Amino acid sequence: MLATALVAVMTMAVTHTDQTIQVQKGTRLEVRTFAGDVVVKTWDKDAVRVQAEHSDRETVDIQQGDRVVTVRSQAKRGAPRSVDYTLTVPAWMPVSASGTYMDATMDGVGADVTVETTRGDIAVTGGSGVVTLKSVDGEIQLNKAQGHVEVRAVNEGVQLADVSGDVSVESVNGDLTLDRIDSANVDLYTVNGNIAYDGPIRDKGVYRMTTHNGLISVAVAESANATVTVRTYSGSFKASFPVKVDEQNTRKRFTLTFGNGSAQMELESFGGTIALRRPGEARPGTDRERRHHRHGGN
Amino acid sequence: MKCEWTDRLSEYIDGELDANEQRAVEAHVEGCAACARTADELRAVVARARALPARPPASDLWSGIEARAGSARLKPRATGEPRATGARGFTFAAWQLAAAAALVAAISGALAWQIRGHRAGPALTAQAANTATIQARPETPDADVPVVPVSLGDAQYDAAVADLQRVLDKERPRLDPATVAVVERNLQIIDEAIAQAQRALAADPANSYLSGHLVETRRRKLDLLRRAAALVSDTD
Repeated sequence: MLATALVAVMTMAVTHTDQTIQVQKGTRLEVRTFAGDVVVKTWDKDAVRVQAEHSDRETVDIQQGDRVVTVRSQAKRGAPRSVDYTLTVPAWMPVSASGTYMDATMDGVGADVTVETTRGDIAVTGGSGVVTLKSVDGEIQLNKAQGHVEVRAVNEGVQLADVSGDVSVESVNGDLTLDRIDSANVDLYTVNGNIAYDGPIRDKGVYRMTTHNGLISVAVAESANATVTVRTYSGSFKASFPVKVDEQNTRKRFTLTFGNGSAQMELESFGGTIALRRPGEARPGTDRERRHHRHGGN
Repeated sequence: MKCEWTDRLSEYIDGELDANEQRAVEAHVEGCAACARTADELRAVVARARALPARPPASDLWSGIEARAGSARLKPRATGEPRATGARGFTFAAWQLAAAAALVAAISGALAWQIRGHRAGPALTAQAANTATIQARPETPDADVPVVPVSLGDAQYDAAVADLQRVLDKERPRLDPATVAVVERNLQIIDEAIAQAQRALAADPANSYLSGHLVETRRRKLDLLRRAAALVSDTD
């Protein structure tokens, strides 16, 4: 059976597609594929280079329309197969990629980025304007983006770093880790994961972080002007700096005012710990991590 | 078939896209009959939702909004009753899901308004210095504000969930079993969170935080179901 499979693989010729087309500013790129890797890089030419590796049963269809270049893979016969793309685009070009079993890696795009995959990881460095990343079963990483950022994971975690602008991130079963975020509008939600947020708290900003089971860890600078509302049901609160909490307040809901209280920050964890710390201080370990280390995990 | 802009139509209708995107969607809708139809349907839902009187939501949120929105498609059908639209279940899923999403958004927004309006604590008489000990002040006791309890047996929510679940069940063979397993595992996680919130709320029915948390968690379940059902249409 293995031999049969090997013969089948060996007889399936690998085809290389390599095509470059000139584009005008204002043109966007749309990639639709069933499975495979989509790697997007940038260069300083007003041109799109499409390199693809695929079986001879697949065709790569590249169409140039009115202000849009579309790249699609299609099966000549039978079920669709994996196609690995490397796309080199001008940095000004908005890019959209969607697929079912697609891993996407993008670096240097200086415009809108949209990536949607069902099962696959997404790693984007760059993006400016509207950045939308979605994966049902895969990790999502976003670095050095700016603008309106929307990230939707389900079964895995999300990591953002060096991002500025409006930020909305959610998952169901994953941790949300955000470092060096510069935003006055943040909305983070996960059901079964932890939330870690590190970034300046802007005056008049709105920051909302919600988890059901997880730990919320937020860095609050001494210079911050924020009204921080803490709400939990069966969880707890702690801070790395002095906070006087009324021990009689069994409802575990209270507000803390920093400076003039300008920004509004809401931290809610039904059953987890809500932890405040100063920027630069180590994040508190999660119960999950502590269990992992206790049992000798790496 | 699902277009690139299908998921952005709601934002387009609400004028929440930036100027470039707004123009791009407008151009797309002009040339795409399916999106034009969905956009018209969304406009109708939004118009009906906006016609709702501005008042604190009653406890029976779903039935009230559903009745005003006239979204008959979200009503549970009697056994054997044919679907009102389309020959295939997933062909109307976009409308159905869009309607559900709009209703959920309206309800969530209304409840968020209700809850957030009550969340603000009393005006502080003194500001703590950042370098000194920060004084935690309890939120306004729930008894001091007119909290409207959330119905735990929300028939309309259940109906919307059941409808979406039926779409998923019907189209399950078209989806990758591994994807179905992931979706079901995450639905289970949300269901457990909902159950915990419900138990807590039953023990502390006037707790506005728990009410809001429950609504938020239930909304996330609808969102995930909607997203899962959209996967079905993606495979078309």
